[in-house]
Amino acid sequence: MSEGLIAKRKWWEWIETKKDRIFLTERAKKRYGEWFPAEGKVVKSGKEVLFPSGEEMYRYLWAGEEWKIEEREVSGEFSFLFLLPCEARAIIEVTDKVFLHLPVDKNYWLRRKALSLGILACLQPEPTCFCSLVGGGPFWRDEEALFLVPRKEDIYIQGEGELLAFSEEGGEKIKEEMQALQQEVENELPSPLPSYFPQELYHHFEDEEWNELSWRCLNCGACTFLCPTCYCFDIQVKMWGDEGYRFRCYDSCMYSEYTMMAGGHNPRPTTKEKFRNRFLHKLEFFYERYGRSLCTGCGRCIAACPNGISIARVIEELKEADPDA
Amino acid sequence: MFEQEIRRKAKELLEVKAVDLVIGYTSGSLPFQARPTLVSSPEDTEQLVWNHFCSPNLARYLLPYRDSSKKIALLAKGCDARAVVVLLREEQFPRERIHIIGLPCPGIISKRKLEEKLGEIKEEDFSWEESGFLCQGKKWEIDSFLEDTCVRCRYPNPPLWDDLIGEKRESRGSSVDYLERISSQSEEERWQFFTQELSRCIRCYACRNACPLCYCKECFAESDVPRWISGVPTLSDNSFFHLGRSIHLAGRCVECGACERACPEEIKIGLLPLKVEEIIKNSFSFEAGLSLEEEAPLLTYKENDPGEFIK
Repeated sequence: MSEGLIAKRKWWEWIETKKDRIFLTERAKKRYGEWFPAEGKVVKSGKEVLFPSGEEMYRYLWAGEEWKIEEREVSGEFSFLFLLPCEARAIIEVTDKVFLHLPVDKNYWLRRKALSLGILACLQPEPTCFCSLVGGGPFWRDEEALFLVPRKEDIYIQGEGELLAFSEEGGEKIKEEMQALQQEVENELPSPLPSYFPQELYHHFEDEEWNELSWRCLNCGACTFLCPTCYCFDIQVKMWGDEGYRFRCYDSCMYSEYTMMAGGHNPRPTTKEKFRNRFLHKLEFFYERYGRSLCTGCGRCIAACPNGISIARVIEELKEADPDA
Repeated sequence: MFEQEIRRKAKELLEVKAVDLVIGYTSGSLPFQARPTLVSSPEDTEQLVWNHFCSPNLARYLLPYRDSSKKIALLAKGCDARAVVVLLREEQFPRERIHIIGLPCPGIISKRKLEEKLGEIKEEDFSWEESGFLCQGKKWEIDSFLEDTCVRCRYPNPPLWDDLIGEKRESRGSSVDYLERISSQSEEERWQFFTQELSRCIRCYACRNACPLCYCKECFAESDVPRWISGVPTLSDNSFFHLGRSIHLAGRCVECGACERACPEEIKIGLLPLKVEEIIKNSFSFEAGLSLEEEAPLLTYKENDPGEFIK
């Protein structure tokens, strides 16, 4: 990976790609909006680019004697996505694993292989951030993604690709400068952060604490829809007469319909079961299957919750209930 | 702001076993936030808080106890108590199992407005007084920091209570000007405004779930057979949901604005039910949640009912 390259502020204009194929997440826009052209499309989180909130899968039509099925494929057109480390980790370490694990999700794959990621260093952590607790950090980077640090007058870029052909060589001094900056931001991370990450939570499945923890939850889906790692979807159909289409859309474990069985039985009938499942999936079940937690510490759910539920605080409260912690 | 009195009252009610539970507010997980809490033992009443950030409508938390035998004390601002009145009128909860601790409300402060005007804010830089606060060496009136829904509040005092803690307050405003600003726009402008607002909706249903009066066991938005609304947050599906919800709240909405404050996208979602309530008020001289006796106009038929609003 090329190290320590500095590009001028207008480096952006050199990218030869259609502007509507450039995405910037809402959060990245808020922090670094001035660096990017207005033509770029702003998305809520990176997952929206790869896994949209609604997507047609196929159309069908009764053609007199047989059903005709027309598959919908995405174009796989080259796109650029600029996002913060917590959002990038959600794609690289979570949704990629989920959707590209066998069987491969075709549309996700077509979009993903055409997507170039730019990770923007996080220079202004918010009070809701706790990325370091879950293995990330404000300067988290990935080998295959461009890493950018917007500065006052120029931008530090680390990575491969033709983009760098336009840049000037930086050198050792800049590398040191970047390390100092990283240290400074990491020291600024909001405190106190939960200092413990729960393990083997299935021992706590029947704990009384879940009643208290879940009590104020409204069972709305704000946390799940805004979460960059929540990937659950539903498949629905729209039809009129002899034709229609099948599509998928986001679903949320907070909703009753999510676990509703044919016949009317619901294995997660109340707020407590839904809430417990959400946190156990984030902190335990996903970990068991994929070896990492389903949370990148971005804190969006904390900021969005109308009733002040915080995953960081849930972790703290589980700790209090855990005699081994 | 009478926090000590509230704690004392809650403690007393639990000690003499007049109630089993107290539903109130405690400090949030973030600065400038309060969140709902459930207190069942007298010692725990110390966690109760009462400040300018006690935003959620606590009447929302009554219904899970409908089929229990628990007696509940509820901290209620003007709008929370109005919602309780509607629930009582609709026979959703027995009066004898609820003890209303009424709190004349000074208005809820919007954290966003604080940040817009004062920049980066820290809790320790604030010193709160009865009608305002000290910050950055200056005294600020709270009026310009209030949530939009509280700026137009006409009923800060609970219409029904068992204990009232604090001095009664004057009404702060009304929704007339706000609605007039929208009504006076051209059709195109209004269409543009609603398109812009409703296309931002992600249909997380925080508005519906924060509403104390949206208590259907199965919401039309989640009905599977038939499925009225698709799960994709398109403008058309979003509009259908919000218009449907407003109609279902007709003559019932207490204008608490819990829906609007719960919205993670900050959509002006309280506007639709507010308009419906204006029509109800003009047509039937009725406002929801003010009296236990008055008949709800849309639940009663009279031969001379006005019908001008149906076009």
